Amino acid sequence: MAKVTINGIEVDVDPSMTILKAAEKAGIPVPTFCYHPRMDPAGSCRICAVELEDSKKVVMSCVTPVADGMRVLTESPKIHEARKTNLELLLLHHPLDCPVCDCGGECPLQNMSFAYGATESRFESHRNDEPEDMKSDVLVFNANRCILCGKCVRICDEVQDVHAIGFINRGFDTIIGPPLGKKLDCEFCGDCLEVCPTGAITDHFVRYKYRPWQLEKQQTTCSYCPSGCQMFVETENEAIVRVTSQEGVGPNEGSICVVGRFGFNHVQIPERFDTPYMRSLHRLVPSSWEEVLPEIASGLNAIRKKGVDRIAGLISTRVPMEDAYVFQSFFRKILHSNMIDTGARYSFMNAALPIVAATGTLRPLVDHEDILKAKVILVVGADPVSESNITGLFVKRAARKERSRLYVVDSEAISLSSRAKDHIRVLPGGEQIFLEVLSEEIRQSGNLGAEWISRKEELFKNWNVDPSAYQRLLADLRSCETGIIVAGRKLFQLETPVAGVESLLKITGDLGWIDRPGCGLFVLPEASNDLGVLMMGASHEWLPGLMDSRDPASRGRWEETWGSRLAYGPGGGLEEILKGIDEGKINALISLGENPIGHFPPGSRVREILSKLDMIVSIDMFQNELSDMAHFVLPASSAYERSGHLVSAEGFVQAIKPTMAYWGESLPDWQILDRLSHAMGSPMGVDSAESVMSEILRFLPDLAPSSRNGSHFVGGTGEIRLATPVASADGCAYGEMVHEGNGLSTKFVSPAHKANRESVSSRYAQWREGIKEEPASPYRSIAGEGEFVLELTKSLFHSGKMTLMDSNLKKIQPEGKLRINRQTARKRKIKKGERVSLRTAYGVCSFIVEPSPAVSEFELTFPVHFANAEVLALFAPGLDFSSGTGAPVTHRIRVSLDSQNAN
Amino acid sequence: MKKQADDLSLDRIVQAWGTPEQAVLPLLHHCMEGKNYISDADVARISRVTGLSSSDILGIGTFYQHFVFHPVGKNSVRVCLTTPCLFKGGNHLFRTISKTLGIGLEETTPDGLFTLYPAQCLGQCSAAPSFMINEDVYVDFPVEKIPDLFEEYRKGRVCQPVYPGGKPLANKPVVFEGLMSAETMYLEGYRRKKGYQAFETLLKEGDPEKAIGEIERSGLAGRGGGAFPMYRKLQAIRKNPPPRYLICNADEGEPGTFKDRYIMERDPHSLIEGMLITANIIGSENGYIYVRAEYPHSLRILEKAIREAEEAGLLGDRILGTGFSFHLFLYRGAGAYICGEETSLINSLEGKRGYPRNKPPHISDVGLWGKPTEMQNVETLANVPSVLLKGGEWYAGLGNKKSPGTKLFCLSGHIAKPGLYEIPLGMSLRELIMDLGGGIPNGRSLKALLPAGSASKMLLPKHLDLSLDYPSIAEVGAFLGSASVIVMDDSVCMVDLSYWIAAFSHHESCGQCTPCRDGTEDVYEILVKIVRGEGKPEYLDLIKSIGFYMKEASICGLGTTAPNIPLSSIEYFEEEWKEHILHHHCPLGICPMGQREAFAFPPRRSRGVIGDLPLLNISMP
Repeated sequence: MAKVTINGIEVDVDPSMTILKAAEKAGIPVPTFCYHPRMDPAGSCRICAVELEDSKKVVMSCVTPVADGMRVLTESPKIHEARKTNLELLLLHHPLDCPVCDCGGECPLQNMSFAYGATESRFESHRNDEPEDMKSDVLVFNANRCILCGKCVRICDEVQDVHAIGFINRGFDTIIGPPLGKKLDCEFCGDCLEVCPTGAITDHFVRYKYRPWQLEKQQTTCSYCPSGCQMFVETENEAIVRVTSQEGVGPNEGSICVVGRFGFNHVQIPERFDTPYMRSLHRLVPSSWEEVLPEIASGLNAIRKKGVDRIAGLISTRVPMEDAYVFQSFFRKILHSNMIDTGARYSFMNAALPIVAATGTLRPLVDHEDILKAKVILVVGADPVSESNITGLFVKRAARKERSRLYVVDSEAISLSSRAKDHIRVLPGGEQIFLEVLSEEIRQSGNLGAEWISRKEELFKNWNVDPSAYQRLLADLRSCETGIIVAGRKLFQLETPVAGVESLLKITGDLGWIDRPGCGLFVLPEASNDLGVLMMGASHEWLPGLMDSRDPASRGRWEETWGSRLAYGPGGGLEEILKGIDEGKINALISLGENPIGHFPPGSRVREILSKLDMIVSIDMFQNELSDMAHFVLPASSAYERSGHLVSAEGFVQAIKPTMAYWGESLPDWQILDRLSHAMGSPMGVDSAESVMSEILRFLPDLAPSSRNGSHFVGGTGEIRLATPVASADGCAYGEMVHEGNGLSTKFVSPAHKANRESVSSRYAQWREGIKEEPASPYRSIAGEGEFVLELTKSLFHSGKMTLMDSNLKKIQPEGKLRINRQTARKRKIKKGERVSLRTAYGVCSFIVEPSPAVSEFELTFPVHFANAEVLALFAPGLDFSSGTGAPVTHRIRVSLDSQNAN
Repeated sequence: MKKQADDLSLDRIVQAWGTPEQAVLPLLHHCMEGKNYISDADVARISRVTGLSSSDILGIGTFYQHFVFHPVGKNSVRVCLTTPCLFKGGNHLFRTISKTLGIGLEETTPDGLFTLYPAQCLGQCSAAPSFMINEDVYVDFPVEKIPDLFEEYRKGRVCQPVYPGGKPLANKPVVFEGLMSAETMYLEGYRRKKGYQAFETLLKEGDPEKAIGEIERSGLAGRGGGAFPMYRKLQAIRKNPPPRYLICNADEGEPGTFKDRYIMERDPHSLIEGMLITANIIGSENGYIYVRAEYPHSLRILEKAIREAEEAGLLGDRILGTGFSFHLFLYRGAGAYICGEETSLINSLEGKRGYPRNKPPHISDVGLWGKPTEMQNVETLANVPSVLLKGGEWYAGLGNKKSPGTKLFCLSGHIAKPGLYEIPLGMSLRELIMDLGGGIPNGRSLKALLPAGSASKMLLPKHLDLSLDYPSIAEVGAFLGSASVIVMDDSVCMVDLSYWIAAFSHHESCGQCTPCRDGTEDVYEILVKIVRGEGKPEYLDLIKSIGFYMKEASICGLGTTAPNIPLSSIEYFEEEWKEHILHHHCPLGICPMGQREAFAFPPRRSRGVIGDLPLLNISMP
């Protein structure tokens, strides 16, 4: 340890620390422009200059390491003069458009000038007056206001690893922006916008529309993907103006992706349901809560009387835990039905069922911090950057800065591929075969017969697996200290997804990772609260706390808790619900933000089946196919309006907070259900989301809110916050450094968010014994005929179908394009922007083409968000639930491509 | 088909270098060949073969003066606009060329044949003024023949043979005998003069400690300007684990300096041998010579010399049958003075923008690709064979106690016998200027001296009796640097001098840190106002306060030395400045003072959005 005196305050610090960090530890703010805690210090702005008391030398605190006995002054006449001159230089050519600049009022350059700047100017020269770069649809680059701190370029390189903007020219002529004269083409995460200390980077959506000090700021959790980003929603007069992030805050540490940052506009458009609707003479007519609730209640009461499991419920997995909890208790307690299912059924359930069976929990063994520390990372069947953006950032950082060995197994090139040691580019669908072979080889640890090996070689040849890359991966997995496997959407949507996930679980156990801290499986749920909604028992399998809903003991426990007998039947999921409706055993459907019609090919009879219902209640924000045929449409509040908690992929339980008033007459889901229960004469008596949460916590205390948040160090004038998250000894909890008396101490305020390894371990051993070892199947065909496999993928710029209503995101990605391998396109003379048609035995659909080197020559991809009925018509109609998890199988199909102009 | 062939040749370049990033500069040079600019398609291709984003490639490319990203003329004309050339009629030369072609700086003739660029020292200062057309260098060219010369180029490509430029060493050499003739250009000639004997002995004996001892005794210090004892650098790097890299800094950009060019062109093998010896001592397997873009002839000669050495088994794997391997690569800069700074050079060599790094860490700990790196100047390395051959004591005895050995001095400016001199350190300045250099010609008197190009504080006639060694010069606040002495007679206006020095710093500042980026710009702008006769009394204090801040807070040597000449000229010639500022009058009649149009560098800022700019008035075929 080195003893350093800063402004007379003595601190003991690590000798590798910089003066700036030591000052932070002493609680002394040092102003900065170019310093950013997540990036390597650049030392270029020279505003963090400090004076060494003994040598009288001026050094830059962000790049100068401390030395034992060093005495530092962060403020002195010399330093004041230096900062003053620095600002004088910066402001000489800086335009005087502060009154209209978006940054005015929250501008570190303004603040710093206020603190140190000269009041008179000694030299008048030209003001920068280059034209702004307005070519991008999202960001505007104003070189005139730029002070060349370079944070935007560095965050794009070092944190996002996208390299979309850079320095151009040198010296005073340097400007920052996309390549010469080109339109910005990037992930539009907006991190550059966030870190810019001046108004040099602004965005088109809110330019000149606000004054920062007039905005109300509310921290909340982003409800799109499972990363659990902490963001700040800024509103004026109950309207969202912009979404920002803060350096160091939340598990995202200040980064948010394009969807979180710009996708807020759809909640404030006139298309949103703002009042209840009731069907009258085949038309939906606006109504009121007072009118519709008794109507629905009497209908439900009548059906309830017929027996158990007569009413079905579907719920989206973007709702908070509280709403999911109320949803399942409304169905099980009030409606006597276990015919409930969630939006996770379509994909994530394929992972959740085997994982819960094997580990007893949905919380992961590892989190993002462990990813950074992992020596080996295998990403299989997932594109973390678009599925859970922050997970993607952490994997990138691990590979780039921490030198983790990254392997990617995927048919497509994902954005992580370029950072991977090996990208094993299997044929479409080969991920699963790969995992089965890998798991078998790890299980047998070398005792493999010649027959098995020759079969493996044949499989690898058939599926295009590079055997040497496979060997490298195998050796690395076996020998590494810490390793993590990341799996996602693509793997969960293969033809027999359970086998793939089980292989992963076997690999994890057989490598001894279950008991080894820092190792494990990290799965990416699809929506923001897949984990929370399932933990709350919103699917028919589980009661809250993932207890078996059919097990009398679990049932008894909740009966005791709720003080009422649970009279529900055996129940079922989507498959049983559709079957039950078809057979007339289910007479009513209540859907909270779900629309099953949109998930199935048009010929699948889903609409026909649903039309047999006596009552459909659609609780939603926007019109869709289900609301079109509903008897009642009830307006739901959005995630920006209500409160509750979401469980992130890392297992954090984080709060969403109301940032604006309920839209029109809309209400949060829990309140609608509660009012309905009152109207039905069997009130649930829920007061508020908070009261629901306290009920949940009484019985499931491990779901107490948690986050990785750190304390914030506010720079004197630059408003720079440094995150100092502190992990507890077991790595399971996070706390904050707090000042107590004269010293600093760590307070662990956050409960564990990761799974408990001990309880997972005992459960896993049981599961592993019971699991049968089956040899890898030689070939799994993808349905259909044709030369390509069409795959519906998640886009980086959208989340679900709701964001298609968002004007900002629509501007970034207005339409879905069919991505085709660039070489293939060239060979077949298909040009960018042309139309082609795809044909299967079931239908034909035309697409606009976008050639891309990322797609393999065997597949075509199309963003799932834009997959409307026309696109779905390519898939086999019918209700195929053969996945073994009750999930419908409709994600991939073989197609023929007709490059004749399809108009 | 052609597209694929192009990609193949680009691929080969990528394969030849350590990382894809490192290949970017060679790739850009490759694309410049033939058409003198880099097209969008080129950028896309480079991006494809290197896997870097086009933003990265343009970020690297636009940093360097040599790379152009819009169509320009077939022939690039680069006229030196630094002090040694300007004192010898460079201004007139530039105006003549500009008038002949009918274009200004960074403009292209309507026929698409010529584009005019400023050059920041072509290393021909003893035969100033100089300019370059493509890779052909013209020195002391009769102004009246300029129209004819361009007519030649108009007709077809003129291409000079590659030969060592300039006259031989001007005095009798002690160490640098190789600089007397062009004979040592070839391996055979070098061998005849005991070439590679020192290296062979070292290999045979296998005792690097002894060699370090010899270098320590010789007192040999960094000849690029730093004057840091070489043996200490060698010892420091040997403490760090391999791989270790050896870099020769041949980015001799200081105006008035041309000694390294002489060595590279006349005695390239002494440099290669010096590198081999140094590499052997530090245990390095890979070395680089970073040659500036303005020295195409040096590059060609070195290329040939390296090939010769490789063929003779002196470079490559298991040299001369021993276990020692050393690979030497030539890396071509692209027109950036800042890349002479060691950490900028390393960044440039890694294929990044040539931004200097913050120190510590020192490059002997964290250098090229984060590995321990030894960097030495051309002259230092070329001294090493003689030191080992003749002994450290012999070498030390050549100089005085304070600074042992000899040093190459580049004399330019207003002096009777400009040229390259090898003198023992400790000789008096008077002896160098008045005796060897022949004094000030044309009956004029000495006004001031720039001892280290544009970097050091100036010296006055009263300093003539100073001893030419590092500590003595430092006593008066100046430094010897690379020992490029620019002599100024009484026809030089100090404000005009400061103006050109400021223009140079402003043109060459890398733009990374605020003090230097904005400081050089503002000092330049203030000087533009003063020479236009728009000076204000407060400007003197302003230059001083900006200058002191630059010296205090800049990252690297460029920023800390850039204000030296303006500040020292204010210190020594305050009256002359006041005359300009208070009375808007230039006593020597040099500054335009509103009477004539002032020369100004065109801003390059607009190059950022060149896609939209109608900068050209040419129609490309």
